[in-house]
Amino acid sequence: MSPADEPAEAASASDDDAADGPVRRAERLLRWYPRPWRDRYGAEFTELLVSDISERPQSLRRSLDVARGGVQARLADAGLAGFPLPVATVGGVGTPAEQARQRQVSASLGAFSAALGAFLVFAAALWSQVLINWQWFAKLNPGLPATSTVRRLDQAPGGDAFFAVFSTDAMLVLLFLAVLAAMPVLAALVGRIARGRQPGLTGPAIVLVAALAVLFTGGRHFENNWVGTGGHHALVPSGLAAFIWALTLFVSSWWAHPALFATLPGAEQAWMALSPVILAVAVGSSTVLVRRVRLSPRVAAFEACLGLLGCVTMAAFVGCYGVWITAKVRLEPGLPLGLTVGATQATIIALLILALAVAAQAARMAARAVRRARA
Amino acid sequence: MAKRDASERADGSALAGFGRYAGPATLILSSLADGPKHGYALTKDVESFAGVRLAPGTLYEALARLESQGMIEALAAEDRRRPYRLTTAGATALKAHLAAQARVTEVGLRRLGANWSTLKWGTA
Repeated sequence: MSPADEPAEAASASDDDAADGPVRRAERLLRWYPRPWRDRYGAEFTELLVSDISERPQSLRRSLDVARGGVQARLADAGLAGFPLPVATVGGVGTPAEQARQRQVSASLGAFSAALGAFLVFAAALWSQVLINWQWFAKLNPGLPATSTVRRLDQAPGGDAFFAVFSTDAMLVLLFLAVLAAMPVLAALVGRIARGRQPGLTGPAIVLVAALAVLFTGGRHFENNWVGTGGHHALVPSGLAAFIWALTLFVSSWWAHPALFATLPGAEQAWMALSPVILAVAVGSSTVLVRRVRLSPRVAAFEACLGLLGCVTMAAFVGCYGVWITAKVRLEPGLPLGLTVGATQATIIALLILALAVAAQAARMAARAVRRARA
Repeated sequence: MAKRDASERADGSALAGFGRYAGPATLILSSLADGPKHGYALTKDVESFAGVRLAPGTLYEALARLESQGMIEALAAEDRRRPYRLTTAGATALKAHLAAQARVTEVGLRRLGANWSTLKWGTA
């Protein structure tokens, strides 16, 4: 290469850099979108972005528009908004538009199952913790005067008794609906795995079974430390209450009190750290399975209907909890340990409301997609 | 006639059901009524006849919705650009939607014209 060639090469390299700049920026913007969307529209969308960036190098409006579109596409991919991608899947039945509607039903039901799983975990934790507090307070203070907080709340509508009975009913209804919804999905899952018709199910199914086995074993072991003795066992079998308490032990104000937390046995501390991960794995793998297993239109409609019923029950639980906590604060602002509205309970309320909002949106989208698929 | 009106209302509401994307969807379908176009050509064409520049995210959100509803279809990609064309369902929906818009426009203009000389409106 002669020295005379160097400027030409440098200019060429500079041109390449200039051309790469918009491409790199376009590719960065493309990351806002989920993978299925990028697989379908990525190449052409990048071309459009490159042209747009070349014309208008700086545009905040474009960046915000792409970000908003990407979030919208991610919500659509999660079955929580918008329209499904009009692409055919390998082994899918029907036209691409029909397959897209089926995918939206699956995605929305998957999102609902994830929200329901999260709601059940936190609601169960709240329910078992409050039940323990209530029972212990009653047991440790047998001689309390009739005007004491617990006695007074026991007798008052909107007090502990109301919350304990109503929340237990709501939890049992939710569990019943969850089991009812799981049965046809389980049947479809087993059938498809046994016939080997649909790949991508066996792995998540094994993970789910393993996670449930660990949760069952751990829950049975740590329920022996159940502190909810005495009180109102008639509401729910104490063994079941102890098991649920052990499963949700990690949702505890002990985390916020290092001195108290340090006094717990090492195994219990380890379980408090491990169980949320296992619960997340169980909820995650069941969500993947619900999204992947192809349900018949009739089963999908049944699931969507149960989803709407589940939302009503969840709303009743949250409403009941709101009534209870309001009554507590109103009757006695400075309640003993565990009965105050602390950061843990406030966080749980926020999480319950968030899970309810996601579940309601997912159920609504599933019902809409089912109606469209029927039409 | 009544049957035809009902059919047009149904088709028009299909496009109106796009919510905030009804406007971009109408512009895209109007552009494709002239023949297949890819994303960049659509942007330029809409800008030329409507004076609106569709941002990339909005354009592709509307394209995806139109495609999932079967109102447009993708053709084979040319290089990295993929043209789209109007389907019969899309043409029917566009015609009904524009006819509904035209009726609104006609009524609005007629009423404005009838009252223009009397200036019945406030000055604020």
